[in-house]
Amino acid sequence: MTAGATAPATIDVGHEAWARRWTYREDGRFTLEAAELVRPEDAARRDGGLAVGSGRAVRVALLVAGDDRAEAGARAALLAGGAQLVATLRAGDRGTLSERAAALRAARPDLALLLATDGRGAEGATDLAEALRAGCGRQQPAPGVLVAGEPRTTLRLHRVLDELAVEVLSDPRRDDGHAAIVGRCRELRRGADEGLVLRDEALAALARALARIAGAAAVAVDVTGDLTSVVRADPGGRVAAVHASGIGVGRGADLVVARAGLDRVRRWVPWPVDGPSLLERVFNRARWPDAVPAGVSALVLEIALAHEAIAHALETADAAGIPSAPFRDAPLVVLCGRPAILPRPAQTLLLALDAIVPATLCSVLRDGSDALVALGALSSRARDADPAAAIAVEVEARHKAIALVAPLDAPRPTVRIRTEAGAREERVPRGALTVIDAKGTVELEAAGAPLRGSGVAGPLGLVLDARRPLELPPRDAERVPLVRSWYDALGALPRMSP
Amino acid sequence: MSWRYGRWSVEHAVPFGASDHLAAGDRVSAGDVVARGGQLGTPVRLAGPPDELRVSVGAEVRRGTPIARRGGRFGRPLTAPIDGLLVHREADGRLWLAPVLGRWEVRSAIDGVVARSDDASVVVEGDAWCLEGVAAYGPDAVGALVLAVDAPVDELQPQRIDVRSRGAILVGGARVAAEAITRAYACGVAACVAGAMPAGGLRAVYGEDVGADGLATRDDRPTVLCLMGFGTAALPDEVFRPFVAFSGKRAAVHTASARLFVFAPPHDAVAGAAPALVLADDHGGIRPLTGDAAVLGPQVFPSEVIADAILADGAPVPVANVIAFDVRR
Repeated sequence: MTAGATAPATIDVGHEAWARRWTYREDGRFTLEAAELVRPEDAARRDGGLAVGSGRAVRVALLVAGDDRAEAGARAALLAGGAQLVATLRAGDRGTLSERAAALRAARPDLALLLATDGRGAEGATDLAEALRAGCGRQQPAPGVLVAGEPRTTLRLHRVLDELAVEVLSDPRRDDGHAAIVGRCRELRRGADEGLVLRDEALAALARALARIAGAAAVAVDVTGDLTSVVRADPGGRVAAVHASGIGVGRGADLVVARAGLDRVRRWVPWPVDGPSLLERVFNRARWPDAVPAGVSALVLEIALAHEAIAHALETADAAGIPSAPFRDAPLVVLCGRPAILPRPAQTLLLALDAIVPATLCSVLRDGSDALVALGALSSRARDADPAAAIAVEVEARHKAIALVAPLDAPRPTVRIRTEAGAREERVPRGALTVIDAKGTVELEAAGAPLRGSGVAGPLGLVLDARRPLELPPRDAERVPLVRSWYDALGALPRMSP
Repeated sequence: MSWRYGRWSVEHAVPFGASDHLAAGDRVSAGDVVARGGQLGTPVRLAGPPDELRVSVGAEVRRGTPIARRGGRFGRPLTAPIDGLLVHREADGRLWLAPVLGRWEVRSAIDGVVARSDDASVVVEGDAWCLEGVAAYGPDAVGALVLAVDAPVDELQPQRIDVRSRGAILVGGARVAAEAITRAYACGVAACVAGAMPAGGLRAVYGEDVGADGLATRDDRPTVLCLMGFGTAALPDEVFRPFVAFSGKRAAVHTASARLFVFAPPHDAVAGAAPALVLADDHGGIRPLTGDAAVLGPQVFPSEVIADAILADGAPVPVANVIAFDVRR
């Protein structure tokens, strides 16, 4: 970066059908100045302006002729790269050449990732490569192929796939192999748009900056129309990320229902609702970009979808061998995207509590103006040796906790709370969700539960959450009053709720 | 504009195992076969890479047919060990032959000329009236367009469907429920077109995994086209009136692109600009905007969301929940 003030530039943080345009200055560090909403017709970027978005969907076929650990490594890299896995074929599975070729033809992948990490699996890898040639050799445009594996097998595969663009990379379990897959997926998602910063890059940079400011791990949770991300950074700058592509509260709403099931979405609605009408709303929302939830039931549906989108992203992480526990164990949680622009901060907080289920004392932040995402994007484009430092001051000025959350996992813990107003003790029954009106820095210690620490309570105060394990009864008659009581406890229900 | 007469391009995906497809420049009518092939059994890999192929990949051969020559100067022919389809030639030249267990065909969804063709897809370009919907389900369908409702706000009633509708594309007004879809299928109806379909009904007919993006299939299933959304959506007059004019004309539904093509001369109907569409506050349905709309500025809605609004049919509606009929979404 250059020293001295520069002319203001713009960065558009995209939603489905509108964007928030931030004007910023780069003066050794980035400073945000003003924001305005822009509609699609005028969302064309100003000269040299940046935009934050999800990019285009990248469909990936995973062809495995390696061990389970290599497959898990590849899945983790694809999740971190925001790719959509559309087909998985394994050399060890039963399946003829024609069945495999037909599956790949139907999947129409943009990219095929062929793992041949096991030298003994050369025959299997070649068979999979032949199936790829047979199924996708004539596809327009032809898929790119990434081959990771043992050198001799890789050479052989290169010969088999010479009609396709083949790129060789190292084992996805290694850091460089992981980074290469993530980089390739992002390149495809970005396409030829040089000014596009992918949301996942912005979130990683934001999480890094927050972790650095807090001196502790930070988690950024983001739900957009068709992308759900959970990113964790530790103070050392190491990042673990899950980006569930195609899953969200807008365009990807129907996929949330398809993956999680309608009942799992329905269970978060604090009044009885029949499945078919809920499904109708989900489908209409999926085909209506950036629809505004004008009615209370549409708003509650959006919250319910966000719950399951985040839960699904974390489950997908577990399935890909990325443990989800560290995502729940960070002292700083920031919510971005649609959850951050819900009308009440309490609704954002409820999502953080129920979807992430924090396991440690944590401050919850909400990026209601897309400022933090914009700063993350700018940091990811900074040419500094220390890009987090370029946004640190602005992030520190703009991040405000909405609440401090204390998860309590003991039968009847007694919590000693010390605030500026004095000290008090709270006895919290199991299953309770209690909000304490606290201001400023709060110190607390739980007797009978492994919890001790301090943090800053925001406008929503201190939340003592003794709902561990967080389970919902299957019957409406028990579940609905319970979910409603949680909404009521935080003040998350709009006044005109049924 | 909702209905539009013009030149359209339709891509037909061809499954693996094609034995034949039309060439670029061939003329087709909607419903004509553009590619055909076989449902394949377990393929066999033929021994040794051949020197010279006598038949091309994709050809069907009988048992004993010489398909290649191998073994150098004094070589012997490589013959087919089974009846089957030559499905693939490996990079090292070895061949895969698969028995054919059944047949499939891909049929054109538009009258026109083949613009591009290979064993993965066939693109046909042609002139027609076209109406684009939001989602379609099932295989492509061709038939005569038949109005099955009296008004655009009506729901297609199952009792109005019988075997006389066989082969027709039925136009239902605001909604076609699952009962009507299954009855239409049982009566041999080619497709149902309506403003909306119930999402739950689509799941009942097409399975739990069905989504809002549609589901293009090749297997024998009902074909439906949702023009505006899900639930209930009364068709605007500007969309419904051309259906009346086109009644009895040949038409086709291309499910992959959710488009209805009507093969009628350009002067057969007058295409009017369709009104904007309004999403219900609870997202449960879609209606056309009738009358004038006035800009209101920011409003607080029952959900407590503050958003720019317009006064539509006497009630404030978020601007984002009003879109043009033909916006691609």
